Amino acid sequence: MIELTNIRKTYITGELEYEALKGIDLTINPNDYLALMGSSGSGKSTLMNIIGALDVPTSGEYLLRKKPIHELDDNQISEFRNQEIGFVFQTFNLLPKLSALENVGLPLLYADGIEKEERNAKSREMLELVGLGDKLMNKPNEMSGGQRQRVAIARALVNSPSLILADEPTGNLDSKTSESIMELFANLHAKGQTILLVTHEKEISEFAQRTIVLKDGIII
Amino acid sequence: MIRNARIAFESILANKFRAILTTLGIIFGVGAVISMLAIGNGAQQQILEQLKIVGVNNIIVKSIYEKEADNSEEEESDPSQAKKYSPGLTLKDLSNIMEVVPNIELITPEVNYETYALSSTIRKKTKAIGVDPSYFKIFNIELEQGNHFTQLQNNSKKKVCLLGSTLSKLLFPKSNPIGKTVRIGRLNLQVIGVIKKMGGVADNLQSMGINDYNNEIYVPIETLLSRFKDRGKISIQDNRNWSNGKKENPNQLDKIIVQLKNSEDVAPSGELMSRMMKRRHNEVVDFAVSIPEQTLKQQKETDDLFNWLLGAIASISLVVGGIGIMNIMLASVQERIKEIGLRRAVGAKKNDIKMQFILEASFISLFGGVIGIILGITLSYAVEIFLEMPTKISIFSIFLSFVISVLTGIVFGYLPANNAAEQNPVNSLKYE
Ligand SMILES: Nc1ncnc2c1ncn2[C@@H]1O[C@H](COP(=O)(O)OP(=O)(O)O)[C@@H](O)[C@H]1O
Ligand SMILES: [Mg+2]
Repeated sequence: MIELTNIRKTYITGELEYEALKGIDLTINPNDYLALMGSSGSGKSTLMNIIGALDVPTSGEYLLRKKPIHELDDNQISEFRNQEIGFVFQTFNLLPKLSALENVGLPLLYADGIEKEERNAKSREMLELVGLGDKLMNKPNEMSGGQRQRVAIARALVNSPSLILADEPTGNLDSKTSESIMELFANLHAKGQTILLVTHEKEISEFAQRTIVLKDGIII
Repeated sequence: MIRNARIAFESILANKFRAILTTLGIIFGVGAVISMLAIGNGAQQQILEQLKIVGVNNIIVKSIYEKEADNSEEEESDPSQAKKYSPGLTLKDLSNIMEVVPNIELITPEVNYETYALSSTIRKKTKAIGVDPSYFKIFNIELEQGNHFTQLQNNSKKKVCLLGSTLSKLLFPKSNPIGKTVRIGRLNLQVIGVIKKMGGVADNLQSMGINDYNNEIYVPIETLLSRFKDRGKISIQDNRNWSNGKKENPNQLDKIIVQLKNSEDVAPSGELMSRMMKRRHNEVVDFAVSIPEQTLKQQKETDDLFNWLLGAIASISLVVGGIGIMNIMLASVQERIKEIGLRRAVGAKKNDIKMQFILEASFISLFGGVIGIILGITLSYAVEIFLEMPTKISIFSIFLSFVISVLTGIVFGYLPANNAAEQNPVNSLKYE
């Protein structure tokens, strides 16, 4: 489904150049559950952001179902993120003034031809799926960390993306809550969802089907 | 577009407090500017209107006398200071002015008596004012109905009169006053005209020698002098005999009003008249020469200064308001950069973000601007009604304050959001 060939990323800060990715080749197949491991600073987030099209590689080829993503313009990339990718962040990134339902519905706001009723119905369905059917109207500050991450996962799922990208999704959670989040991912995988999980913790990576390890910008 | 309008609207509702703050900044900026300029304009306008009432190129000579007999001790102890004889202001002064002062366009004497006017059933306190027909030309006094009296009627001492509009309604509440009889003292006068109602003549004008046209009765001066009481006929002896009681006004006339052809002549002619009259009155200054137009123009200069001050305060409040709006907008976008990053991550196009923010800023700013206009107009009326200061709202001030504050709101709401939309979403998401 996804093919990365010789992806490089060089950050330039002032006079300094830093090559965070030094030629990545990676294939992700439908219904894969992949863990991306590596110590802090090894380039995991950089790679994930490129796969999620939040950032562009300095060079290399990125194909999704044979379609060259690295050649799309900004509007097409926005659409790509909206349709194909669901992000789950370490810091949840919920909008504080919106209810759980509104937060989950956000991607649908930017999808064409979805009216409010449909948006709310789908958002509610996703919140029920992650076990928050009774917290629809809660604001983020009225929920625990684990609940917030579940809202974020519901938001990632709501537009039926091809790929879920989760960057250290349990990094801000205690071990018990982490485990229940990992169970949720396992369930989603069992239903056919493709997942790329970024983590630096071995125990977390063990939930995945396959693990790849990144070190100083290359896969080892 | 509709989608982004909905997003913008939901976002405003979600951030009510911030929206209210911005709106308040705009409301007070716009409101303050409109009302302050309205106060300044009002004062200006009032003086311009008064200038019309006092007429141009006029010089007014007023007689001065003390109503109470002057039986103080110093008069007795210092006989050298005893009053020199002055004939008072008379028709002779008038003919003298006509001989000496060049380029006179119009001239009229004036006498006035506090008296009562009677119609068949109603009695009202009023002032009977005796003038030449030229009086009405000097002050551009127009009639509501009927005719002015003529020089011929004046010379032949015809018993006719003009009524002030308010007085006419009081004396003849139900019928047309033209042709009716009004009695003052022992004099029966036939009403031949009613003066057009004028905007209230302010006190400062009356002190400059302008009459309150609405409440008075105007009679040919010859008629009034010969048939009512001619104070000119009172002898010096009479005056001395009354020394312990109320002193009669020794002046035959109360005013002489001169209108000159050219405005350059007004000041020098005023001085010439002062000197000439002083000589004629044996150095007794029992008269005052005034140029109402000049007095008003001086007043206008003071007012103009005041207007500048108001304008300056208004501009400052607009700038301060603008900075306030700018601050809130900048701060609110700063705290929302992460939101912009997140919206981008879930699929918002650059344009979606820009539209959302421009719509949010426009809606808040326009709403504030409209409320500000309403506030400004309300404040202006309140000042007029409760502080009794004239105000005049100018379209220009509404336009200026509205455009400046609304533009500030939109520009500073939009620009930072525009920058954030152009940013790499990864950086926006990292923003704290
Ligand atoms: N925007 C950036 N500018 C410059 N250097 C960056 C930037 N983002 C990441 N880096 C650098 O790239 C390397 C990889 O970062 P990252 O992908 O965030 O690592 P990880 O997620 O594995 O901890 C780090 O050394 C980091 O300092
Ligand atoms: Mg990372």
